[in-house]
Amino acid sequence: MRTQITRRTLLSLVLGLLFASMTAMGSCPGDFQVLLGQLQKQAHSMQDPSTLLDPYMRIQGLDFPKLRERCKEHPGAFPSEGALRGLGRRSFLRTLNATLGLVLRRLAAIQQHLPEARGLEKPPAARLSTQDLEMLKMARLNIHGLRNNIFCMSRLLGSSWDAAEPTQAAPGTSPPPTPDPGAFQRKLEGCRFLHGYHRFMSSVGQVFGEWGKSPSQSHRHRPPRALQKEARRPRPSRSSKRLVPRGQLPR
Amino acid sequence: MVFQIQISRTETSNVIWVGNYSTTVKWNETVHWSWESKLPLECAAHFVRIRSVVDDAKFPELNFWSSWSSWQAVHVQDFLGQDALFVFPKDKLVEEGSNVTICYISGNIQNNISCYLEGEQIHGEQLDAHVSTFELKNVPFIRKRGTNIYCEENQRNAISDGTVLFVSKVLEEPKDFSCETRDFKTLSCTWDPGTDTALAWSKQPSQSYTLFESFSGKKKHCEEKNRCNWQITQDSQEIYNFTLITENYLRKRSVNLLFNLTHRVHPMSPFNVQFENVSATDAVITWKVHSTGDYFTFLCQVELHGEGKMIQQHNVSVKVNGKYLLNELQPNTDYVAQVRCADANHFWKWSEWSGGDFTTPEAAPSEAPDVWRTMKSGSHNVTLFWKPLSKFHANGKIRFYNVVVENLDKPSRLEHHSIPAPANGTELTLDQCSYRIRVTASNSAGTSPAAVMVVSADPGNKEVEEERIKGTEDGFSMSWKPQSGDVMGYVVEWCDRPQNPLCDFQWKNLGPNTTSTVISSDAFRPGVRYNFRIYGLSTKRIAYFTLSWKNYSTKSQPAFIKGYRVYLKSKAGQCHPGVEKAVLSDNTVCCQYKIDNPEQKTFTVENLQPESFYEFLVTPYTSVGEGPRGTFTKVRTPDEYPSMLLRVILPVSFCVMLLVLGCHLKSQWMKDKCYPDIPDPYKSSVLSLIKSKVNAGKLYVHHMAIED
Repeated sequence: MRTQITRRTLLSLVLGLLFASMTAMGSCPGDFQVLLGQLQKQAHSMQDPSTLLDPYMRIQGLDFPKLRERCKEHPGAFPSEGALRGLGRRSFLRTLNATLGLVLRRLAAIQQHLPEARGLEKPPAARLSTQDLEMLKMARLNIHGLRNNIFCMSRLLGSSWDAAEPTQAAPGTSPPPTPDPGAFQRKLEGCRFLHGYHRFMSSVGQVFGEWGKSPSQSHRHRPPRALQKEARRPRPSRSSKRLVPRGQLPR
Repeated sequence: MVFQIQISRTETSNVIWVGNYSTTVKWNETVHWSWESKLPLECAAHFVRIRSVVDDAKFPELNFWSSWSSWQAVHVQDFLGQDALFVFPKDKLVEEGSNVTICYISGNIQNNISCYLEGEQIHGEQLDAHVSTFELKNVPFIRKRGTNIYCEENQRNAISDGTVLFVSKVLEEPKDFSCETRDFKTLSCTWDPGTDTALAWSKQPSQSYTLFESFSGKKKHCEEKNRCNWQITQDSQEIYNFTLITENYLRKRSVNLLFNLTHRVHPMSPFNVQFENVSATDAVITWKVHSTGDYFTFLCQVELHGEGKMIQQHNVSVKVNGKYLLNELQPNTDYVAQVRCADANHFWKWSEWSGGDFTTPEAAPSEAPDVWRTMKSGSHNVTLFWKPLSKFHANGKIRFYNVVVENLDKPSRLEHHSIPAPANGTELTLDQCSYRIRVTASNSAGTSPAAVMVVSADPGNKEVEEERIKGTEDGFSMSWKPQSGDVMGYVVEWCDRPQNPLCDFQWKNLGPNTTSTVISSDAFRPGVRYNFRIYGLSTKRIAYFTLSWKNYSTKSQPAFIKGYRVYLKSKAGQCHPGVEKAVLSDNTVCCQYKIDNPEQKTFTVENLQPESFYEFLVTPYTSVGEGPRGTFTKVRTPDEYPSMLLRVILPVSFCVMLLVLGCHLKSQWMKDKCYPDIPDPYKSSVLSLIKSKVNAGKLYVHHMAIED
């Protein structure tokens, strides 16, 4: 297990550094197939729960069968695979970029609540905890790398989109503040979110896979706004007994 | 006033707690009091009522209990109407090892509910149809992110609700609390904080640390978790009484420290460490210490390291400037010296080390090279070999070897050869005369004593015994009969290809009493023939004596010593060729030897006559002139054959003396035995007897044959 984690950690590190270096150099690969290949690899890597969900569950003490069953994606929290397939390539890239931006903010919030574990928990739990924390950090790096490649691909496709962060909801439309559901519910919300993230990345990988089969595609027009709304407003989960309206993705 | 409070649970008749609370009250002032329920308040309805009594001696008439107030109900939240399960308390913070009560409320009493703590099912007690409680005793710490407790409704087979119990490590008392000053301006206090009790989800930050000093009444919040600096004010407070307080949300601990500031001085490390007057055998280390007042004395420790190990350690008392003479050093050697200091009066801690390195200059080599020679048969060419001096004896890098050849049969100019190092030998072309060869090694500081050997014109008996020996793993074992005559020692030489100029020529010196040895060498190869030769070294001596003034300290002289002059007087008044003559103030002539190295404190005077008297004088000289000339010291060179005197002549003389004495005592016997007188017949006693018988009447004639 630890060997797998190490290999995946290394792969994540290499991919993340590669993409970060490309950003630093300010250059995008000019070859569509090369860039597509990188996007496919990234999506494949990031769909693996061992890169984010599993470490998160171990860190939060949710790594038990009954709790694992609860860590399932809220329907509607992330765009479905069908919805992604229905998008044109540029719209797909914009949606993917926006969703990843939200994921980054959520990961930042998760990490804020994680003081360093060193020196407190008994080994080997201490070693495992430190490794899991590192994987959380690596996941953010990988997402940044993927966003860079998305930007490059969008340029390659002639899009004028500049990979800026999606605009926030306009004032007046923000959901009302909800009472604190407690740390346990927040932990579960986190793992549900990450489960949805990995499923989302799997769907993204499928779509990129089809790009490779049909390099010249016809643009399908579907209003991207509906999809973004879908990403921001997941349907409330029945399992949530806290009557908290979900106006947007959990922070 | 004293207030009595009653608390009931579920119904007013079920009183679960009664307690008194005393306080002073003011008119119209709200009194605050709190009580923590072990059972989360959400899991049951609680009721509270209160009554009071005036407990004041000034108002004895009011010393009676008032009526109870009405029961006040405490309903945190009403969950009974909901078809859901709720677990409480939410996100409670407790200390490791404490007891906690968890409860759940189920709106649907039909549901079969199971609860788990970190995956392990826990069993509780039913408080009522809707509420069950779980007593967790001695809760352990699992992780900073809290311990997860959750319950599921078995019919739904899904987790209904849960809570996180944040178990904090017990705040430890700070350990090893200590304060010191390095400059009398700041006190630096340090301690071991122990476990960090911070928890995730912003539940509890790391514990805080505060310093409080009781004599000044000052307090300081410490930014770091294991150290804090305190400014020393000018009011010369000497005694400090510190309390270090640590606190988290659950507990507060403190430790005390009382000390005298002057007993907690940890000096800064010395600075400006330098080395002066570095000579081949000594050096002076100097350093400075940071001043902390006129009355402060430091105890400084000086360490000298050479070749990776400490070789000297000294303690020095210092006020501001430190100085120490390091002696007994070796020439041409790298040294590291370091110094540290502490309070001499009240030792607390050593400062850090400060130091540096230096290298002693070269000195003249102290030992003569180990020299041997070979001679080709039928030739008078001599090949000299010598072994490099050890580092200990070389005292520096050997620059060249000097070979001086002197023809003993035809004294004339000396033949000088200078062979640059590295070299292990040279070849000399000689004739059929006897030669004295002197070999010395020179470095930049001077020249070694000479290795002297004499090559005789007469090669001696050429018939040499030869024997074949077999080598073993240990080497070659050989023995020989002691050589007749006086032998100074033996030399065993060997090589594998004696006729080949590339022969790996080696030799070994042995003492005069040696008659056997084992020659071993890593260079010996199996199956190879080696030729060994054993030489006895003659004791024929050349008269010389060695002067030594090692105790003369050039450093302590009032001037810079540049070298020495050795004056030698002899009866003959002759100086060896190459030696300068000098005329003394009393007009006597003597030989003058010059030594231009002030560190050279030995000198061998050679080429002297045996059994002769000489007078010598050694005097230093500076750039101005020579030092005072004291009186000459007399010395007599030994006999040429002193051993023979002892071993041959004395026994012979003794025997002769015995013989003479014996002869004298027994001279008559000797005379009778060795040279008796020729007997006179007329004086013979026999004739006297015959005469007396004739006179008696008859003449008997005896015929006596006188035999020759």
